[in-house]
Amino acid sequence: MPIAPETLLDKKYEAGFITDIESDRAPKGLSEEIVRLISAKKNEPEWLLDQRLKAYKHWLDMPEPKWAKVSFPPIDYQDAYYYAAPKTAVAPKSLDEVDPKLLETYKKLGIPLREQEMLAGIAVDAVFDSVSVATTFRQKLADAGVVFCSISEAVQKYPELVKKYLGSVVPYTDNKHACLNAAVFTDGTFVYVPEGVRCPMELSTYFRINEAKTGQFERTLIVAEKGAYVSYLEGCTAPMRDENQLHAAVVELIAMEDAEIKYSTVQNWYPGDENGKGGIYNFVTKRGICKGARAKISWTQVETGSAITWKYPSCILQGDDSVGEFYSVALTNHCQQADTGTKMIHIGKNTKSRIISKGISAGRSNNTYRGLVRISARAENARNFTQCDSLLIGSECGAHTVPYIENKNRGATLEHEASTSKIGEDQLFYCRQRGIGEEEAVALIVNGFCREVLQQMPMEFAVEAQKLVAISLEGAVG
Amino acid sequence: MKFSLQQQAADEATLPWLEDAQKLGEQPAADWVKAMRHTGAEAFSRTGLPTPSWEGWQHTHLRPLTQTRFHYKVEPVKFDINALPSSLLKDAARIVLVNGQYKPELSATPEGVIVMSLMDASVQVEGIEEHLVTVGDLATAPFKALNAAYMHDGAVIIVKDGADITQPLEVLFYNAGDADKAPSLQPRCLYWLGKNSGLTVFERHAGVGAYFTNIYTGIFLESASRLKFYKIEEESAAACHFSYTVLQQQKHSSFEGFSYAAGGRLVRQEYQNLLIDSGISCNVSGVYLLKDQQCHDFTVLTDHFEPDGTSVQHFKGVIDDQARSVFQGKIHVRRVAQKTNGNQLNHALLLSEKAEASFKPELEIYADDVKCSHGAASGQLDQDALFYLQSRGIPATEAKSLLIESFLNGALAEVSFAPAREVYEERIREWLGH
Repeated sequence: MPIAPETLLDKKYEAGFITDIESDRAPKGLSEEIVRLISAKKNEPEWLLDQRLKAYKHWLDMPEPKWAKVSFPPIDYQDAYYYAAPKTAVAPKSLDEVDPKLLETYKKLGIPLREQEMLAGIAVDAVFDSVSVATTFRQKLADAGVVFCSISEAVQKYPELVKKYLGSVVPYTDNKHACLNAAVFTDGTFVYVPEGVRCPMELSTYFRINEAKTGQFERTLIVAEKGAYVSYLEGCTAPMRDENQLHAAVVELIAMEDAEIKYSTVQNWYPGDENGKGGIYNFVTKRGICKGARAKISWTQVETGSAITWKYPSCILQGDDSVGEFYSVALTNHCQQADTGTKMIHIGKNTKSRIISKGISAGRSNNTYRGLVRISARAENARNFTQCDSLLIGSECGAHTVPYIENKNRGATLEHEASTSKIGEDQLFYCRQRGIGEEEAVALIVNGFCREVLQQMPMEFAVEAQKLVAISLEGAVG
Repeated sequence: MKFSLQQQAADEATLPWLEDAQKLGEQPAADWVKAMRHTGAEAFSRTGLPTPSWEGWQHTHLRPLTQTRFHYKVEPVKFDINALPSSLLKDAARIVLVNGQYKPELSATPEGVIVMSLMDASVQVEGIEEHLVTVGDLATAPFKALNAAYMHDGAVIIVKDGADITQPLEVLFYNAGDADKAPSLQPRCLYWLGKNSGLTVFERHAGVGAYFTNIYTGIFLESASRLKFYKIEEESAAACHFSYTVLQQQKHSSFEGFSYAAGGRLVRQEYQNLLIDSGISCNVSGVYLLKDQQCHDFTVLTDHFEPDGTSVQHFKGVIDDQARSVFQGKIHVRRVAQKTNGNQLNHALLLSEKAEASFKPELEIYADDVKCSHGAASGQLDQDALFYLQSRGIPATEAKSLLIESFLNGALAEVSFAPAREVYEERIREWLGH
């Protein structure tokens, strides 16, 4: 039976709606005054303002990174708001104090806070635009000694910790997007797990860009002390907009001796319409450092959204015997562009890293894996395994693999494998023959293709991620 | 001829090169040759040499090239004829180029093959222009531009339509650095195979002393032609060797290329394989054996334009002492090039603590019904295998050689012409020291 791919390619973005809540926002544009204003609004200490200003000045002359395989018109940084907070942002003590309209928004997105609080056992630090509006389970976490709060709160309450670690993994000089974030970040999450503590629950933050023309500049900092363990989930969804919105987040992870951080993402920002109009520019800098021996950092991501994804969650494996992992599913449809991958920097002895990347391109999209594995001269006995597979659905998309491999230690063992193929006609035929609908069959095959990665997601996310993969692909049969 | 030297990009080392090029530009030549020299010199004066911030040049540092003052000369070079290495194969015909200049008196040509110097061909052969012009963007390929600026030396090898040449042809590039202090050699070669013709070539690069050789090779395979192209790069230890090979293949043509690289201080062999029609087979493989402070770079781009193409790149490298290897491969499959089969494999064996290997195996794919894969691996000799051999009474050094040989054999299997394989095997054994 001939397959007509295009007819089914029209699954609309489900989370596309706008919540009408008055915003308290700073004037449009970016200037030193805006940076000062953001800092003043947040009642920040002098050192942080200095850091912001330093970053801002550096940002002015910094060139935009051009090496990624993405194309977009130049960003007008002056045509965006850098600070917007819902009017109700006076830190509510419980959910009852939260604006019912906000709660409604989450409900539409399928993350009712109450339900999650009761059923899922997940603490949710929900970020609506730029200010945290509700934090749950704080007490339970506090009992364990875990700090889980917004970064602005952390600046007030734990200035020493923030001062010590903020910008230590991703300095403001790293790249233009990270630099912009360092200057204007408005909110984000701070997690601190003290020595020997295993965080009693999965921590989760849902992000949402709501205000029109509000670039969101999240800043996440997670510190796991010696022997600590934490699993953090991050999920994104944004309402439908015509104009491109910039999202330049920075995530820093610090794992001390024997600590483990697991960071999972489901990214479903608005990808733009079928013709590539609108959609989020997702320019994210994520990096973790395994500072102590036997530390472990694991990144898992399912990227289905955004018009452009530019994201390279990385691990610096400094401690001996430390482990870095990267599991990724990147799915692009219509006119989406994704340039994503990882960096594994092996510095310590016996360090291990594992990269599993699955790219799926459909429609007229382009999907690139770009990764670096660097074995430094003293990384004796280091080990890396990389596998990047691409799946092409339709004849107008592109799948690209750009790995960089550098080995300066003969004791290291590196393996890299990559393949590109399409969905097997025989597999499809087999499913169809057994009465499985075409669309369902594709979802089944693609989910099978991504299985290795989806398995790494925490339970709560695995289900959502599978559903997302299926929804994003609906129609992309070819 | 006049061109504006935009000297901001040129540094101390390259400025004299441009002056040399300007002098050469005044030599008599066909108009299109003069125009090419001009374009090349101008492009190079704009970019200068690539720096590590250029994509594709991060790991190949050009210090050995800029440390010495290399000069280009038009005059015929004086050299010791007895210093020429003997022929590779007994029954092969051989043509000789000394310092890039074609020496007909030292050459013999197999029947059915036309060989002449580049400058002779540029005026005598009809339609040669489109085969001799530099293909591609000069702004991103300074060495290509530099070679174009010096268009003068080199040879043209033409096989007539339907001629199946069974006698192998050795093309010897002998470079005498000590006869002529630190020469800069810029030869350009063309292998032009007519329809349904066949040729087996051994291209050998050897020499003494310090020199900088920058070769541009155009290979033009008309439909259904077959070229076996065996390269042996054994330049002198002080040499810098840069070669840029542009391969253009037409319908159903086949190319089997293999490169043995062991010589030179700084070497970059770049291939641009353009599979411009359907049903083409293209194999560019090789081995590299590096020691001391050698730096060797293989950069291979394979571009599939039309359906049903097959391309293979299979490289194995052994890196000892403080040597460094770079492999950059890219398979580009265009939208219409359905049913493409592309395979790329690169393995490196690090023998010493200071040895380094970098890879960048890229895939850029726009067609969905393709099978493309790449693999890269790097590591040291298998200690268990070494132990096993030693436990059976084989001395450690011998066991090591045995394992290295068997490792390299994986790539040698790509060579279908048995005498060529023997030549390579002999050289590998020599390198291993027995």
